Parts: sequence; structure tokens; C-alpha cells
Amino acid sequence: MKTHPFQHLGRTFIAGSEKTLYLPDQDTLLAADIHLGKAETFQHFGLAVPSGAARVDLQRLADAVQHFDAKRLIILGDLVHAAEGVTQDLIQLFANFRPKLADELILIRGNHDRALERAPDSWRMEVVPEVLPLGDLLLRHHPEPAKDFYVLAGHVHPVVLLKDGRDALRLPCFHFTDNLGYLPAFSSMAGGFAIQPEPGTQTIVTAGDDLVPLDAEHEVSTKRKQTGPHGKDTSLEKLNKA
Amino acid sequence: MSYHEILQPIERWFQQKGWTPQDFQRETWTAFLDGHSGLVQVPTGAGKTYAAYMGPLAELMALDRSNDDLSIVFLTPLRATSRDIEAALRRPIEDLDLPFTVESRTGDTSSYRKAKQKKQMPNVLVTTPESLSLLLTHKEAYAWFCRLRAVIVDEWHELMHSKRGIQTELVLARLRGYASDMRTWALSATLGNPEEAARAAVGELDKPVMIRAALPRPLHIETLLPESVDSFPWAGHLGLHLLPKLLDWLNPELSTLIFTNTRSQAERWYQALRFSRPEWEDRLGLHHGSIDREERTRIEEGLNNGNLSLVVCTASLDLGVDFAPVARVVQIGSAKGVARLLQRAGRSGHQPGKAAHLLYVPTHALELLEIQGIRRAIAQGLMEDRPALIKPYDVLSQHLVTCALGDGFEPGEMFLELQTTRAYATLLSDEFRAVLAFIEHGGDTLQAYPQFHKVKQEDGRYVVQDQRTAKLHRFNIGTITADASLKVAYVNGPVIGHVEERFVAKLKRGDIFVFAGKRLEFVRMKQMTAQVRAASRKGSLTPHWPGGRMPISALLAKVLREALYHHQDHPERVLIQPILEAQARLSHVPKDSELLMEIFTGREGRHLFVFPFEGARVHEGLAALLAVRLGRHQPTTFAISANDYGFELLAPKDYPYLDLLGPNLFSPEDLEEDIRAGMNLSELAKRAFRDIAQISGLVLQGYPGSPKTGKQLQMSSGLLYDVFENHDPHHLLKRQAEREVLEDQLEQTRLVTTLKRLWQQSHVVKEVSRPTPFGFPLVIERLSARLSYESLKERIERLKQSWGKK
Repeated sequence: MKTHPFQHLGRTFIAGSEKTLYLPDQDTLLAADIHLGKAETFQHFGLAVPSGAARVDLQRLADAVQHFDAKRLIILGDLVHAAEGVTQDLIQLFANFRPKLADELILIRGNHDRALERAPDSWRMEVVPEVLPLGDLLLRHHPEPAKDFYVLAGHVHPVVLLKDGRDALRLPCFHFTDNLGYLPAFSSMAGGFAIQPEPGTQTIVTAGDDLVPLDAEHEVSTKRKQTGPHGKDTSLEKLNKA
Repeated sequence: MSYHEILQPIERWFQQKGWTPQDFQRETWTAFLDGHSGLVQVPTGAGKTYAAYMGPLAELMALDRSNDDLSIVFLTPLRATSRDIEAALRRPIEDLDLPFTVESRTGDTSSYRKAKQKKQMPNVLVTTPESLSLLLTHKEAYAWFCRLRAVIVDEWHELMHSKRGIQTELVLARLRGYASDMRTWALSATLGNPEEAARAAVGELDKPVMIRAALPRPLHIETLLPESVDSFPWAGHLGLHLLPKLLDWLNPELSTLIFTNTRSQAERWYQALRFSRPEWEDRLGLHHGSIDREERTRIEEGLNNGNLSLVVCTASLDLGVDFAPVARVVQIGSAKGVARLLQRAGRSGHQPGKAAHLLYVPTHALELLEIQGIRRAIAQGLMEDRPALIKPYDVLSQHLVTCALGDGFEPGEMFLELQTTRAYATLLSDEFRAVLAFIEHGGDTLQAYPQFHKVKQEDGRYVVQDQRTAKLHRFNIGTITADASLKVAYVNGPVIGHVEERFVAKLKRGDIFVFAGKRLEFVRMKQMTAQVRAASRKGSLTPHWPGGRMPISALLAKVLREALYHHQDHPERVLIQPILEAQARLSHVPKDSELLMEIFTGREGRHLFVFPFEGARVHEGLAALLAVRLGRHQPTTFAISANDYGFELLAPKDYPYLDLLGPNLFSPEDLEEDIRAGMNLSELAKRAFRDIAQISGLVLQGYPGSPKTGKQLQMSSGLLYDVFENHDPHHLLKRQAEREVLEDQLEQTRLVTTLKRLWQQSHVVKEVSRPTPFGFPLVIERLSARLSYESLKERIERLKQSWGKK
């Protein structure tokens, strides 16, 4: 895994190519939108999507925790995809991985986590309903700015579209504005919502096992529209308010 | 009763109408009464409908049963035409005062009417392949269809080569199993492979009767010629150069269809006509596939009742104006194929026996050659084949779920039934088993799909028990033609049409664009709808739709080359002569034994132009192939561009093409490996997978009931492809995507044939000092810019350069 340390508004963050964010001051690893059991949810509703992503994603998460030797792992919402996907197999699989997922494991509940109002005991995971302050940071699932805090959030699945004639790439990214830091979706099965960085923001794209910072000194664009993480067309501002 | 007696009322009805049945019509009637199935292949407007319909109708009358049986199914590819067809089929019934009922059942039919039909089917049902397939998902399917006497398939030449055609083949096979009296009659415009078309329609067990009209309609092609070729463009595809001459020629008193090749071209010409002749505004219409169905119906009706006379259209009107003859037909730019041009020309005149007339408006110089080629082909009676697809798994899996939903199926019987279709005659039992595994378990790798249960086996029959699965399947079954597009609508107002997401994604609030002939201002996106208002300012954006670029057919490519090699005294030839002379002066005009290549060093680098004259898609494949093979000797990064006449490789200035151009560059050996190396096949396969995923029910168009559940079940097909790649890489649908790319998109077969031709030709390489008339279009119309041999990181670095510069 590659890492990319960066400063934003005086704070230090370390982005990881596996789509995690490490907070060195807090010895805490963050990941958002893991969507475990997505394939099984699809299968449940009669769509033949192969399983396998849950194991791969949990392994990636365990590797990231090990890489930073983080004492705490906080999930910024949407750990699972839907209740239908939280099968006995998944519960067992997660329990097996649990020893590798840091001493302290906290889930800030996202809109997909209704099934986890109470997590299985074997997961040894604390579930927080909405927000979690951490120093002068506020961690939450929905990206809404907060007074006196810098907010880190998930939910949006930000990606950057790079295009040139017929060639186009869609790359999940970290996107930091003046009051909000967006994490890419950790899930290997997540779609994305295209953002268009503006001056003053920082964007770091993940590309395979690499990280590439993009500078936002290009044109200011108001273009914001793309298919959102939930397939709905909506603007970034609207998502924030949702 | 003798046939003569049976057909007596029909003959009388024709007399009443003041018509005389034509020989091919009588032939079809008796062939039907004889118990045969077959294909009626006559030009558009010759009277196919009554040829196929009156036999079954006469038989029904002779049986003298006023009954409740569904006896005749009339299949049309276009639901918009169902009402016209319904009226035409009802006419003799009303005139002869018969007790039979005629009704339509399409996606547009009200649910009230549909529910009534389920209780009582009409005697004659007009429907589409999708709606017919949907009927098979009901337990009553056998009861509805078991007394079927005739299925008539209209516009078979349009259907047969598509996946909807395959769907039709499968449904027909099922119906034949239900109804022993059923005969199938396919109606087709002229095509190059009628035997295959007939076999696809009637199935492998029957010997089709082939019926052709004795008299082909004479056709006059007139070319709108520029005064002189000096000012005539060498390239470009708008062709507005000839607008003034066309304006003189057009007459708003005469109904005229103006065919263009792409939707954006249609928009431009419509704008141009409106701007130049504001007094024609009320007589002018625009018709293309993105315009809202209601508006299209309004245009079609306007043409029918004479309110509109000048309609600019695309292939959207290739079908469905069977009952609306027009006086004149105009073709703007290349028709891309001989059959297509004939089909369009056939829209004019429209009375059997009368001459068809077409005005051809070339948009650039080389199209003057093309029309000569078309004249040659028509003179020799040549026509394109419509090759049908072979055993696509996605359509089959959809059909099997459909049948499991209906009365279920026993796999052994189903396998035999499938082998009676042309499309699946060569289906292997292993392939069949894999498709069954897909609908039952999700895939061959059972442990990969633990929660998947769609179709179950019960006492040896495959059935669907789960009501949710049933609903979901019915909800999504009509998706074979659906493409992902967004609605364009006024804020709080009516829908204007549909446009691809890619275009809308580029729009910013306040952007002005031209769509459906209207100047619109983009306001916002709201739930899959691009909201707009009428624009007051001027704007110039015209949506550019993907897929609008169709390559010229293999036949047209061939006759185009012949037109180039063989001098003839057509006015077009005289006109293009100065351009060919310039080409000869600057470089060379190839003979039929030669392949021309030009090398030119310009500001951008060193260009290699190759002119096989074989259609854009083959050229793209050839370009990629050459890039790989050249790159092996001397690695570099190429930019590639291609059009219907040739292709271009652009390399850095010092690239030693001259040293590398050996004959083996075109060797057919190792073709597939080299293509794989040269093109990003998985990117292409991903695009092909979109359709496949929809048809096979892997992604949903919509979810009946809870919108929340629907949201949770959305995943882009590209992402889904990656999931398969990672977790079930040998899945049959993924393999199908790869096959489709090679066979359909890259036209592998045509590529191989072309390569063999090029390999044998003598290669003429010219170093030129400036782009020639042949090369110039490639320089200005850079169709694609794709580079080979790059890592992801390099791609990102390159893409970063153009980022934000939109």
C-alpha cells in the first residue's frame, strides 16, 4: 500500500491507496462506505452478482490497520449494504477478521446500517448513531459542515473523472474543502459521484495501488452533475443537505 | 372447399377497393392455405401486409366460426406503428362485416385494456416481440396461444440481425410448441441473404416458401451536384454547402422525407431549413430517436394527414411509415449501405409498380464516388446480407426465466426446442447447462452465489415460485432495446425527448443547446430529468450522440472501390475528376491491385495514412493492429484516427515508417493476439457488457414497489464487470461480452477478409508534402485519439494534462 501524507488547514493526514485515511495525532484509521454484503443483497433480490468482495475488502482493511499499527479504527458509516446481505456467513467472516481490525472499533452509523443498530457481540464494535468528535475534528457519515469543527465524512463516494477524447478514467478520491473532508468509498463494489475540484480544495485520487494528488488550479467549474452513489442524480450541495 | 372458394371473399374485397391482387399476394395466400410457412420479400410499399394477412383471414372465414380463439398474431418491431397496422387489419373485417376482433398489445396499451385481454384475447393481436414475450410469463400462455393459426412478423429485415430478432426466434419456437396449426410468415424488404432470414423466422424444422414480387420497382437516384467542385469540401459531414440548392429543389406542397445519418446532423439541417425558410415553419418537422414518442407520433400523423410536408429524420423513420407514402425522399450524405438507401428510396411514390425517387445530397467530395458505387450495386442487383447473431447467452437466459415463469419447462424438451431455432441450432449441451446454472444458481461457481435463488427445479421442471422474482422479471423484460438516457423536459412541463447522460453531464446551468429543433437553456438535473426552459439567447451546442457513426457496409465499400478504379461517365464522376487529379498529382490514385499509403511530416508529428476503403470500424481495428506491429519493431506512442476510407497513425517526427513498412505488417497471422495487444479489449467488453447485463437481468431498469429497495440494487454495469472479473472471471456472460466485442464491434470476420486483401495487394507508399484529398478528412476529423502501451499512472499523467480544459 502506498501512502501520501498531506497538510490541510494546518492538520496532518495520511491518505492510503487502499482508500483509508490515517490521523497520526490520534493514532486512528478511518474508512468509509464499506458496503459489506452488497453482492449477497443483490443475490437475495434475484440478481446474480458473485460474492467474494466482503473477504477481499476485510483483508484490505486488516492490512491497512496493520500497516499503520493503528490502535483505533473508525468506520464513517455504511459498513454493510443492507439487512438482506448481513447473512450468518458474513457475521462469522467479520468475527474471524475482528482480531486484526484494531483494539478499538467504532462504527458511526450510516444510512445503510439500519441492520446494525446493535452489532453482533462477536464483532466487538461500538456503534455511534450520528457524529463523533475527535479533537477538533468531527467524524460523521453525512457530509454536513459543523461549527467549530473540521468535518470528515463519507456517504458521497467521490470520484474524479479524467477524460481525453475517447479515453476516460473514473478514480475514487479524497477531496478536502475548507470545512469538509470527503473520504472515498472503501468498498471495491462502490460506484462514484464525480466531483469537480475548485481552487483552495485538495484532491488526491487513488489509482490501483497508487495515489496521485491533483492540483485544483484549473478552471473553476460549476459542473457538478453525475450519477450519485445511490444512482440518483443530485448535486453535491444537495447531498450535503440530505 | 377449394382454395378458389375460400379466397373468393378476399378477391371480392380487393375488387370493392378497386385493387387487383398481385401475383405474389395470391401466391402467399395459397401457400398459407397449403400449410406452409415462409418469407415474403418484396420492396417496401408493395403490399406485403395483405399478402400475409388475407390467407389466414380467409381461412378463419372458411372455418365459419365466430369464436374466442386468438388466431392471428401480427408482430411489429415498432410499437408506434401498431395503431396503423391495427387499422389496416381491421379494414377488411369491417368492410366484410366479420365477427372478428383486432386489438393491439404493446408497452403503450393501458393496463385496463391489458387486464381485459388476459380474460379475453382478441382474434387478431398486434404486438411487439417484448409484449409477446411478456405474455409467455403467464401461466395461461398455453391456453391463449394453443389455437394460433398464423404469426406474421413484419419488418423482419430490421429485427432479425438484432437481439430482439433472437428473442423473436425463441418466442416463435415456444408458440410452435403450443399450436400445431401455427404457420409463420415473415415480411421483409429486399436483403442479401433471404434464405437465412426465412430460416430464422420459420425455424429449422420447416422448409420456408420464398415469395418475391415479380417486378422490382424502378428507382431513380438523382444527385444534387455542386456547381463546381473547387469550393466543395474534401471532408466534413454537415454538407450545408448544398443547402441553397436543396432549398430551391424542395417544395412544401410535396411531402418529403429528408434522411440524415446522425441525430446531430438532423438537428442542424432542421435548424438550417427553419432559419432559411421561416415561412415553411408550419410544414416542417423533425423526427429522430431521441425525440419524445408523443412528438414523434405527432410528426408521423402530420405526415399522414398532410399537415406536415418536410420532415428531417434519421433511421428513426426507416420503419413505420408503411401507411404514409411520401412524394419525395432526400438522403443527406452517405447512406452507409445499399439496402438502406433502397429502403429509404422505397418510401417515395409508394404505389406498387411506380418508380421510387431519391435525391442524394453529398456532403463532401468522396461521397460523390460512393453514390457511383451505389448505382453500380443497384444495377447489378447487389444487396447487403443481414447476418443474424449466433446464440447469445443473455437473450437465452432471459427467455428461459420467461418460460420458467409461464408454465415451466423440462430441460431436455427445452434443449430440443432451442435446437429448432436458427439462433441456437448449434447450442452445445455444455453451453445450455451453463445458462441453466446461471438462472438457477447465478453461475457455475456455486459457492459464489449463496443467496441467489431465481429459478428452481421442481419435479424435473424449471419453475419460478418467488413472486418477487416474477414481478422483477416482468418489470425488466422490455429492456432489450432500452439505452441509458435521461429525459429532457421543461421545468414543470412536458417531456421533450431523451438524451444520453454523457451529453447532459457536460452541461452547466445556463448553457444553451439545440434539441428537438428547439433552443433550450439547461436549468438543472432532477431525478433523471434534465430540466430546461426555452432559451432567449443564442447558442450553438448541438448534442452529439454516441453510436451515431455507422461504418459503410462491406458491399458499399466494395462498390466504392470499384467506382474509384473504374472510370465511368456519370456526372458525379466528371465533377470529382479534378479532386482525383489533385490526388494523383500530390500522391497517387490506387488501382484495384494496390494499397495506397502516404507518409507526411507535419507540425504534430509524422503521419502514416493507409487507405483500404473498408469502413471506419475495420479501419480502427487495422490501425490498432498496425500500431502493435510497428511498435514491436520501434516502440512509440501512436495517436490513431479512422474514417470510412482509411486510417491514420500519428507518431513523433522522427518515426521511421519507411524502414518498417514491409508486407508482413498486414499478415493475417496472429491477428487475434495482436488485436488483443493493441486494443483495450476489457474496456470495450465492459461497454458491450452493459447490454448483456440488462438483458440477462443482472442490472435493473427499475424496481417495482419500494424505491428504497430499488436504490440498494443499483450498480453500474462497468462496476459489475469488474466484480465478475475479480470474483467469477469465467462467467458465461463475461465471455459473451468479449465475444461480442471481437465479432460485432471489431467485425473480426470482415477484418480478416480485409487483411487478406491488403496482404496480397501491392503497396504503394508515397511521401507527400501536404495532406492529400484522401488524407485531409482524417487530419481534420480526428475520430479517436487512443494511445497504446501505457501504464495506469502514465494514463493519469496524460489525462491530467487535458483535465479541466473541456
